[in-house]
Amino acid sequence: MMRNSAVDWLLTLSMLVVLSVLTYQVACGQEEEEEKEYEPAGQAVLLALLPHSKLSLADGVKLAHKGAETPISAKFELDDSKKLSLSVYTAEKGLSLEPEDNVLKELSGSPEESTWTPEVEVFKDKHHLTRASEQLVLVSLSPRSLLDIVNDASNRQSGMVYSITPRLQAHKPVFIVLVAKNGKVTSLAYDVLTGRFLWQNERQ
Amino acid sequence: MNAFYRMMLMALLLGALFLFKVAYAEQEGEEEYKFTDYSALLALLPNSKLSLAEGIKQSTKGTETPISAKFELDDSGKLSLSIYTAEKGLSVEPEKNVLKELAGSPEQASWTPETEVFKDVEHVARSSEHLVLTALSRRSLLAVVNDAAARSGGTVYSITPALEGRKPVFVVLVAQDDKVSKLTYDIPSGKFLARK
Repeated sequence: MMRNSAVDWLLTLSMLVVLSVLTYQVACGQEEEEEKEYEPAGQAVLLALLPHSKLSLADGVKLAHKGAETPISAKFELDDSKKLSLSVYTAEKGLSLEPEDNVLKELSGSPEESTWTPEVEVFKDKHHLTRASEQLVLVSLSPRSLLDIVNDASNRQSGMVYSITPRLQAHKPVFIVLVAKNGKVTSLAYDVLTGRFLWQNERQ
Repeated sequence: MNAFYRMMLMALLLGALFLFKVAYAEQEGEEEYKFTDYSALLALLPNSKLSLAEGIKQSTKGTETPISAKFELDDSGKLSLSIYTAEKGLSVEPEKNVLKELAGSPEQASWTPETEVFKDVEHVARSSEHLVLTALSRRSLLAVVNDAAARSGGTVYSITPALEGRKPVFVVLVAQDDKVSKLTYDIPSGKFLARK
């Protein structure tokens, strides 16, 4: 009898420990993940890997656009294991639904395979939600689509367009487009509200 | 009780707790007032010791800037003044800002709101939108509230930046003689658009 009771309590205790560990792991998974700002060395690695991609940023934007689901930003980046990844943020319910009522996601995966088969993450953490909410609001204000801007940037600047991000710069909504050529990066800016090209400059 | 039954009981309790949490989280969306709630709110508005404009002024401290404001009913059906703010101001994007709600009874001599830093999906998404839209405006929330008060002659009790048909507008609600008017302002220009 004593032995049964001891086993019962041991089992209960074990379950509590397992639950605590699981809770801790979930909490850790939601910790901050800052927007990647590459150091020069990291950027050089990214630029060197870009030619390995089997698809362009425009191809990725097109692939991510399915039914109401609409891309709100897109970029090539290095994943956690420093491999080339194509990441597209989308608003699952389209641009007419506000962030609160939408489903904000990231599709990301290697663009080096013959087909892009991205993994999907629905954002629930503060950093990704704030970033994706801002991007949805800004893209929904624009008369031009992300794809349209990417194509315009490709025509305007030779090289490979590898990033497009809507953001606020000094209260002004802009699309920032990055183009890589011969190890150098050119930034192009477009006014979100009018869709007009604003400026470009070489970064390095 | 043997080990098997104890484990089953714990699993059931945990399952019930999880389902309760999910159901509760789903209910906690933006408060859309039903007619009865709406009248209750309007009936309580005269009890407020401060106006929406005064609440906005009081919430503006240093860089901390209001991004929406409203009188509403709290969970116990009492009048509350709720103001969303961006702690680091309008020039810092949502991701790097601190998005908060200051909420408390406006029926006391001084408004001493409780502060909540948003972490849940609905409030983070909503306040991010409010920050982005308010940052696009040439006019402050206070300027728009003052304009609406002067234009309508009623009690301004809510101002929310929103997207209506992908158009950025401030939606201002004004109570007058138990009726509600909705005024809209174009966010980029700050111009008055319509009253309904």
